[in-house]
Amino acid sequence: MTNMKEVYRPQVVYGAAEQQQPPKYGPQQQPQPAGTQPQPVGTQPADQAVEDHADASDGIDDVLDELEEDGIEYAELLEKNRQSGGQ
Amino acid sequence: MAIPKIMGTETEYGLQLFHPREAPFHYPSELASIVVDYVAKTAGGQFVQWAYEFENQQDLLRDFAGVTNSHAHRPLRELPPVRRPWPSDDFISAVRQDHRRDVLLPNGARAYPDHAHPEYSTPECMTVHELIAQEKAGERIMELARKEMMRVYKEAFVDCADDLELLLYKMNVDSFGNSFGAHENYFVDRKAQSPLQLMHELVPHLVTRIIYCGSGDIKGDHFEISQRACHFSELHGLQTTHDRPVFNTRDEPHADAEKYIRLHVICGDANMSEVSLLMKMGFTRLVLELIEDRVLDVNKVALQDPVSAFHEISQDLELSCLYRMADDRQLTAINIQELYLDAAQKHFGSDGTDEQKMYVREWERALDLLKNDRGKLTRDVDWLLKYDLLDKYRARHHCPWDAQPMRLLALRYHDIQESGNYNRLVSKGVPRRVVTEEDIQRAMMSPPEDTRAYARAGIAKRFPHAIRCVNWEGVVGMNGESLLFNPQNGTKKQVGATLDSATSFSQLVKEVSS
Repeated sequence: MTNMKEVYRPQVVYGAAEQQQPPKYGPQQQPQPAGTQPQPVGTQPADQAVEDHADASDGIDDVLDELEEDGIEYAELLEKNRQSGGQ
Repeated sequence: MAIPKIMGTETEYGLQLFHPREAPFHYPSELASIVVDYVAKTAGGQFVQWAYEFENQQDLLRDFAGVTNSHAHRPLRELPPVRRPWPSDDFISAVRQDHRRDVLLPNGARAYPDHAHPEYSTPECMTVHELIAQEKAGERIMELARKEMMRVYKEAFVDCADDLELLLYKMNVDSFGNSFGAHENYFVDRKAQSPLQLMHELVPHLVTRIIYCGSGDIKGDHFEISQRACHFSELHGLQTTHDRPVFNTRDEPHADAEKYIRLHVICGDANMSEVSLLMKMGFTRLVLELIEDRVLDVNKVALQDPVSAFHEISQDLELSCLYRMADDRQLTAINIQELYLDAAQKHFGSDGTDEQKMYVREWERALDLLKNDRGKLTRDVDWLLKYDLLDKYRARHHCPWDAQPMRLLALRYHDIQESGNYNRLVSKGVPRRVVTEEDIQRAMMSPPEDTRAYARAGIAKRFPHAIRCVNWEGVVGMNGESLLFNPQNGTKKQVGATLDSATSFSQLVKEVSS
């Protein structure tokens, strides 16, 4: 496998337009839901399932299948990404 | 009676260059500038001198806080109404050193490097539908530029072509903790309401609207509704790049300052979803009309601590947390949005225009589904769609939210290539569309016909060599003659025939002025 470190001198361009101050309120501060049991977003009881949602769900599965079938090697992309300092 | 809500958006695009040693190195601002060069090349744009000298900035709340920003100087109305001096050589030189390249596009939009980001500002639009088409046109224009730049670079550096790649993202954050803007602009009647009242009545809407127009992001080890919310720490302020305020007080109307406020909304996320765009701008437009018509009761909507609520709502994926109102009531984000909707139903229900009634119906549907069946909104709302995409990947591969593949998947949701994750979902028919591809293609080449963007684009097309400088408000010719337009002037109906028949810019100025 190609050594990405050798090949790439990646230059990531990032937010100089708005240099960021550390957020005052970190994302770690999770508010407590008021009186309801947490339920993952996007998961609905079966009797609430609707055609629209089923379509969206199928489409998302198709895209994930496609990404994997297309041979997108996440590890490789991530290595590029990591070296670039990007996300 | 509220004035027509002419609107526009400004989107800064994130850049990522995978760069082999053999290819030339570019500093970030230089790269942004090169991308803008390719925008001009591929989209038929025209380099122009942007007349920054005409742009005057004050603080919208100056009369209330007693503070005037140090950068503020002459109000626009004190400038000569027609003839203005050409910027000095020193000014031009300073601008060029900053890699400033302003491109006027055939649709009346502007592209330019805003420090390290290429930015696309739509032309002024009279309807949200047109604005969505123009914003999506910006994505296509940026992608054309990216493709052409890569074609040229790969031809020039054949030996390392496979390792050379540029990616553009329509989003607001990078992994270093920087945030960059996706701003909205709305023309508001300066005399309809005091700026202070405007702020108090609008802010609760701005911090709660993310429930249907947040773009979603992985923050730390969890998912949040909004990309931008955690980057805001102040209630109001003039600044946009540090200590960001929910209510930006930049008072720079780009129009008759006595009549207009150009409300500069900086706290929104960049949206890929056309329905999220419609809800963000369509519902905000309604709220501004309610404020101008003085039918909103600020005591009903005022939050005790809007900035903290903004952060917390972004983390409240169940939308069930309670937020303390100024009068000590405790309401959810949906409840607060319902207060605005209720006012809109009463005000526009019977007397509104077809467009206003359409937004009211969409608003009713969105809040109802968020409360009762949010799965039906997955196709419409960026953060819900992205959440489902990531959650399914997480279930397949048993990885935590902060795993690198999850971050990459989230990032590539905003990749504007056809292979970007949002666009892949579009190809599967998943997201609900608001505009057609034909609308977008048309918007890439044509300005809106019912705002001053029509005159700006038309002058640039008919008399490209006669232009000395341009800004949002008008065009100055080589001989110093100029045309200035308020936002609803310079339309096809008003200047179309004259534009077609005039043989020179000077003649056009004479005929339009008479």
